[in-house]
Amino acid sequence: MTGAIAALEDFDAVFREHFAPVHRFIARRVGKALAEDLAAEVFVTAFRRRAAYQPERGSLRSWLYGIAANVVRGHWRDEQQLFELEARVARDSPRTPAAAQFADAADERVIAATLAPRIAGALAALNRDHREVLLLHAGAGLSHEEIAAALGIAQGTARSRLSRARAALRAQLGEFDFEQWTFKEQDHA
Amino acid sequence: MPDEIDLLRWYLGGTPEPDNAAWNRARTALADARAGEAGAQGAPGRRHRSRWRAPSRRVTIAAVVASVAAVAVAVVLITGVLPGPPALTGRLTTSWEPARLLPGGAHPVGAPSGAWRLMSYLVARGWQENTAGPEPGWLTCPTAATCYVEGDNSASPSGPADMNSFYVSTDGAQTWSVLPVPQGITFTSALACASATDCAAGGLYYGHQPVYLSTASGGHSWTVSPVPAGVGQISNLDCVTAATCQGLASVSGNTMSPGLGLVADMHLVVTTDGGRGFTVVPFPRGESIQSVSCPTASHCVAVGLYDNGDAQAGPNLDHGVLLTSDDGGMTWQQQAWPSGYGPGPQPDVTCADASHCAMIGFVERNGREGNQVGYSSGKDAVQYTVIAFSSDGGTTWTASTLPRTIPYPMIDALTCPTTQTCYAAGSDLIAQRIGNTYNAGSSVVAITNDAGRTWQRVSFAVPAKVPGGMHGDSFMDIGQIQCPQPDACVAIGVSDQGSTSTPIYTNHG
Repeated sequence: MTGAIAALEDFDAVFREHFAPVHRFIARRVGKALAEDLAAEVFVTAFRRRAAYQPERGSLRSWLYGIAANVVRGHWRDEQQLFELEARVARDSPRTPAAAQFADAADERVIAATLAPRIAGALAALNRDHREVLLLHAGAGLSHEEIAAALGIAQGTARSRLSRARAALRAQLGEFDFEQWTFKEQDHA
Repeated sequence: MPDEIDLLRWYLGGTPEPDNAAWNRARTALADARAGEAGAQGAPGRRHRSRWRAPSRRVTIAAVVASVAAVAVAVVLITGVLPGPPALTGRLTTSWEPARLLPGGAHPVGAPSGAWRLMSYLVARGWQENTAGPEPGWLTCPTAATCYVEGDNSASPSGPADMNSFYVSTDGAQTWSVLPVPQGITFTSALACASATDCAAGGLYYGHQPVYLSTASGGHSWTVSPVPAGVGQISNLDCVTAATCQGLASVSGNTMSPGLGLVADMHLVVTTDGGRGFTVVPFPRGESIQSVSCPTASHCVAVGLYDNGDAQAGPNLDHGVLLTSDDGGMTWQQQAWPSGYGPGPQPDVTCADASHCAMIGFVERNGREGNQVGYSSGKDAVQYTVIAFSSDGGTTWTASTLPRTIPYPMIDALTCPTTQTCYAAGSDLIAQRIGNTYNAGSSVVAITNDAGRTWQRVSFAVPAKVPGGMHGDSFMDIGQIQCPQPDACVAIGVSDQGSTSTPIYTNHG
């Protein structure tokens, strides 16, 4: 949807189209319970400020994700602890709640049990800016331009921040074999 | 070959869809926001709780006919018959009403006299609980014996707050009674009291019209006064006499930053005649004042945040706005914000007299914090509040250090019964076990008797098991504390969602 959101009917369409992905974006970062309130807050804020939305500054979804990112920013502790907990709890159990939640087949559960805690741990180790752009890019599917619009930063800054974030994530993942989707050190074990 | 983004997409790909509760929560919030806009334009009030209903799966001709008829009737009613919400054009005084004693729900924890302890718990059916803020009530104790709580009586556990319950204790928080609130009134600020019975508060009349509430009888009778057009909800009030009060009101009602609950566009509202007339003083544009303290009729100190008006970037939490006034808030002098901390998401200032003030500051830095339950690490992962003191009326400030037993405090409330004695209350990452519940955090109270040079952590008993109507999480945070005397304090906890009561602590009685 493009253009200013002037009419109430337009906002109904915005809500129907974007609520689920925005909720997922928030839930993945702070957990389902908190996401219920925060996702609602994002759309109430967007509704109240809909007259301020400027299509020329970025897409509608980048505007919404910008508000969502700011909402989550106020719950930094919750986000950090969720990733830390997931990394640690998953490591303690071969069949983690997270793995069971995200995989259907048995082999996927095995992969998830191996990978999910490592990825959670890697995300937990990133700084907030890096994690934010990675989740906006990989989780919400925002382009460089949309990330820039969402976070109110220059496009070049968004591009370089994402590049550094990817490098940081790779460094945290260590010896990961992207062809086999395994950690090389585990093959030796 | 797949790369780290593909790996991340796989990891994030299984995130569950929002369930019905999430959709309904958002729809309800949007409906309320929409009703709020309509209310501002003279249509039905914003506090009306409209609910979205799931569409019926079975559609019959009778249902269609009935629906069309219902819509037609509704249109006629709305446009021609039903009046809009009542509007207050003059002062309204309610008749004297008796208090109704709350049924006994107190199960005090045994503790030596003079020690802090769980006194009782305040029961409210359908009370709105909130783990992220100082709800479910605003506590005001003008004397050691008299305390008031404005509470939320929301029927919905996840709906917006309806601060339309009023509780009073006249025996130091040992027992509580309920007093009726004037019809159509919800509170928008904590009560400010110049004496045990002379108090005032901000409010909304039928959910849409900001008003000023005052009582000279401790809440048995109220006078409701309209505020001038253009003045928004009063959210912060300070009364030096029964007739002279200063408060903050937002013109737009916009939140400065979602997730933080900070309101933008604050103005100072002053009355010197008990709400008959008001003077409205705007603050400089972009400086959003969140807390003001006026220990005398002339001297005031205000703290707030710089608001860039950008919902995405949010306000600057690391560098705040500090103002002082020597003419009752008519003009303000900009003071340098102290170095080393920011205003944070919950700035607050309180002054014991015209010279001695204390405020809650906020620090975030890179590092790692945690306890045996969990930890955070990374950029700005370490977050805690500091208490700063001023002895020159708010011009210069010195940050104090809380004891090592309170490593990462998040202080919600600060009260200073004397120039040297202050109590700070909130939470910390100190794990605690209550019954079978192992909480990641716990309530903390700290006291200083030398204006912040040294602090002691106050210990108080928590129940071995969770009392009826409560959850263990209710003991993780103290949202409000009032100490009319250094040895007479009352504090109320922040109740967990689903709990129907909130704990009350005292150090006296």
